Amino acid sequence: MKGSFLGEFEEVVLLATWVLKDQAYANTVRDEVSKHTQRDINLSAIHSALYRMERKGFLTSELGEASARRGGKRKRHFYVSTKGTEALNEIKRIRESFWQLVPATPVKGGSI
Amino acid sequence: MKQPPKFPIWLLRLIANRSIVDEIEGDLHEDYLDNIETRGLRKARSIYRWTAFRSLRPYLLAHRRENRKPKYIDMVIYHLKMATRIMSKNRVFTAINIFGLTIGLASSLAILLFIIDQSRMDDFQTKQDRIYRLEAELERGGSLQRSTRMHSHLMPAIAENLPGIEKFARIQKSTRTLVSHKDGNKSMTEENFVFADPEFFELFDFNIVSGNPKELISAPGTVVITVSTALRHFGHTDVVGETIEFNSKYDKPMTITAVMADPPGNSSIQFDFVASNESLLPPGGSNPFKQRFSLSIPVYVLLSPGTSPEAIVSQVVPELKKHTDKKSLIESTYSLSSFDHLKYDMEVADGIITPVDKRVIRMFGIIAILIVSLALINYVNLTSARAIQRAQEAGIRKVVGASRRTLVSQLLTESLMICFIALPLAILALELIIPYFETVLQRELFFEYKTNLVFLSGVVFFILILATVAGLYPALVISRFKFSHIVNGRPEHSSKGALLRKVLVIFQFTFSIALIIGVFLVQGQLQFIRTQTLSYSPEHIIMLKGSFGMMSKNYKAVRAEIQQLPGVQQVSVASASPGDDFFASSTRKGVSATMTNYFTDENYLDVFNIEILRGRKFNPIADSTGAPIIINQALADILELEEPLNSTAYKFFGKNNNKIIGIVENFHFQSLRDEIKPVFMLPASAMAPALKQIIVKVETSEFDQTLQKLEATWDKFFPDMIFNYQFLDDKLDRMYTAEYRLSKIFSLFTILAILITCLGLFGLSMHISEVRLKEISIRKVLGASMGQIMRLLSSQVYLLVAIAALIASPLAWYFMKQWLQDFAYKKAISADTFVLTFIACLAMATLTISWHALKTARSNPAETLRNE
Repeated sequence: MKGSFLGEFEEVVLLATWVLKDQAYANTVRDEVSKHTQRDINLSAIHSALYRMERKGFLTSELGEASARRGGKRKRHFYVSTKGTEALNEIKRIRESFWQLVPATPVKGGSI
Repeated sequence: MKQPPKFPIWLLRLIANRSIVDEIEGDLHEDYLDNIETRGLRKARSIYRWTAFRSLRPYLLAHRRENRKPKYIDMVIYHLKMATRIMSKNRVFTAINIFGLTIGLASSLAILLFIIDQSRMDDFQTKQDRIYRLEAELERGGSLQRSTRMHSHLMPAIAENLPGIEKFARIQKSTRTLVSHKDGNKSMTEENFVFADPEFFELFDFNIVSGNPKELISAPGTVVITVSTALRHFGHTDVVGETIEFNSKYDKPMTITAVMADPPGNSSIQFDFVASNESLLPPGGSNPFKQRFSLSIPVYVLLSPGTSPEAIVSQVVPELKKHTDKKSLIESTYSLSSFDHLKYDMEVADGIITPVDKRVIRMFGIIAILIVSLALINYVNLTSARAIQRAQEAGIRKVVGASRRTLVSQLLTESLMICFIALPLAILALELIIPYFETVLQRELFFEYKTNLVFLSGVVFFILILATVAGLYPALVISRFKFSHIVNGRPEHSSKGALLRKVLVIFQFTFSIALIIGVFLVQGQLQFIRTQTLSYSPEHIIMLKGSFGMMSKNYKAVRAEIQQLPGVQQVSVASASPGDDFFASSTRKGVSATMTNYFTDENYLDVFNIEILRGRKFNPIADSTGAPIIINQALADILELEEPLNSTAYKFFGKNNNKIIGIVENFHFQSLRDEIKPVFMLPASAMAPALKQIIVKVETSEFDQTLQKLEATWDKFFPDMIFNYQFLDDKLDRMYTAEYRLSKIFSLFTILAILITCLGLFGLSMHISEVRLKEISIRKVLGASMGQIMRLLSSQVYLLVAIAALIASPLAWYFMKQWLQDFAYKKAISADTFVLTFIACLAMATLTISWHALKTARSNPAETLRNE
């Protein structure tokens, strides 16, 4: 578990990157995360998460093409690595094993 | 399309690696364009800024460390490692380089400190750009006389109507003998006694320690003293309200109103007392210019801001005409000299500001630069000479893939390393030099360079430049070699760069030779001053100094008593002796010159061995009538008389015309910088109170005993005066302190320059011997003698020294001629100085190179050729 631990935000970013396949770079990841979480997210937070997870080995990356839209700068595409998919699966497994134990009928809070 | 703000990204770039910032910038740019469409330009810009700002996160730095290290740091470490290896491989060369640079840096830093000190002179004077001294020029007897002394009421008269003159202060430096409370009520002569108007403290900024700063010397009979003076006379500084008394009935006691801090070391104005000048000034009356008694005092003015000195100067004469029609006043040309100018004005001194010779400062600057360049030349020469040996290294490096740039940066690293090893050593050496430097300069260096960041970073910057200059040429030479050159032939034989090295060696020797000649000539002149020009031997003459009126009644008794002491050859009493300041210059009706006068007794001429050309010396019996006078030849030449001897045409002193009873040779009584001035001497009996010096000619064998007896006699006659004696040679030397200092500093730097030059030559000869070792071995095998080989190795060096001497001689001759112009009496520059210097340099060069030349010449050919 240790070393492959993902924070909640990191998990979401990683999922978004996975979903976007080869279209994942900071801006698209940000939009995807915003869409699903329905929160406004600053680009710098996404950058921070992406580069940090790259260093941890959850992501790999390669440089893409430059364009005028980007002020002549190249973009960095991110891909989820094997270690990344394993970590996501692990999280999913842990959560599902918990959900199995939760009683089928939801508890109605506050009712008698 | 609107561009996003530039600044935030620029900020990021400062901190983080360029490539990651580029990626972030691209993303931000895209986001920015999206935002312009959806939210408008202003919002987009603010989001851009905010996001960029928030991008400053720790991961950026981590990124930088990962990406940059291998390319950059490793290379530097590698270069450093190479540099240490090469330095330890050539220990002798490294040592020569470091040692030379250390000496060069230390001495130029010392000079730099001195120059900085000079430039910060008086920087605490806040009003100095508005302070001027009034000066006047008057044509008198065919020559222009520049004077710093003004009629005491000139300035008060004109300042009334000239609003541009904000304030003025009449300032005069004088000597007073006062009774010290600390030292058993003995009297002590104080030489730094300033009399001034109260405005003195408004013109100049000095720190008042205690007392009311509003009423310093505004009342008559008040005085401000410095802390060290208070300690000297009272033993404590709590002296406000105390009085100081003088050992003269003409001076009334003064009340101390304040104590001030000593004038700082960088003040051009130095003094111990500032007293109100009220009592000195002649009474003004309705028309002060008509008073019979007048006084001339230097005047300093403070102009109001924005007033030009020219505007004031043009008003002086018109204003004066309203008050007086005195010719000497209204026919003078007046001028205002700025404070900044006065600090360097060696021409006329008023005793208040001690001027510094700007030429000396400039010369120091030049010497500093030259000494550093000598050390630099050593580095360039030795390294580029070694270049050929290192060509192999360079070639192999190139084969392995080093670019020329890498090679250059490696060699620059080496020179940087040498320089930065030399720097701390130089600062260490500087600490050792400074005390010596301070004693020679006779002043403390007050600039605290160790805590001055600007100075230190300046020095580091200078070292960087130095290292680059030194390293660049060898680096370019070495990196130029191609591997094929080395494989093809023997690059040792290429004469590339040899010419440059020769030129540089010539430069070094030129400088050294010029300095040596300079030292010889300065010392020759000083020797000339000491010995050639004086008719008397100054080391046998002691002067006992007292004050005005001390021997009014009993000078004959005092003289007789001292005459009887064992060890005393002759005694004379007089008003002054050679080397004194003669402010008492005066003019007489019909004589077109300023004259100096003494009161002397009949022994004076004998004591100083002054030759009487015609007539006779004073004689107490014969002199009782007829107002006799003795003049020197200079005055006799000026008087328009056919027969000056026994003439009674002029009145020099007293009520009646004087009779000239004797004419003496032109003896030196002032600095040799000046022409001998006209002098007349009056008999002691004419004004006994003026006799304040006892001049004793003693035998050198029992100095101490004689001195003790003199003191005992002194105490008997003058129990309330401190026994104050001075040797005449000390006193005369003091007139030439500037020259002595110059000669000492000159000698020091000459020795250093020679040392550095010889070190370089030593290194170079070592290199040449190594390179030519095989050639010489073959010559030996073929039958060359030791002498032939020595000649082979040294003839070139002699040629270089000879060329240097040829260049240096006229240079030194020119500069020394300039320097000697200060002296009215000078030793002729003789050719033997130059010949001697040349021979000395040849000898030095021979000594330097013979070590390696001999070693090479004596080497065994069998051993050196074995490896071929």
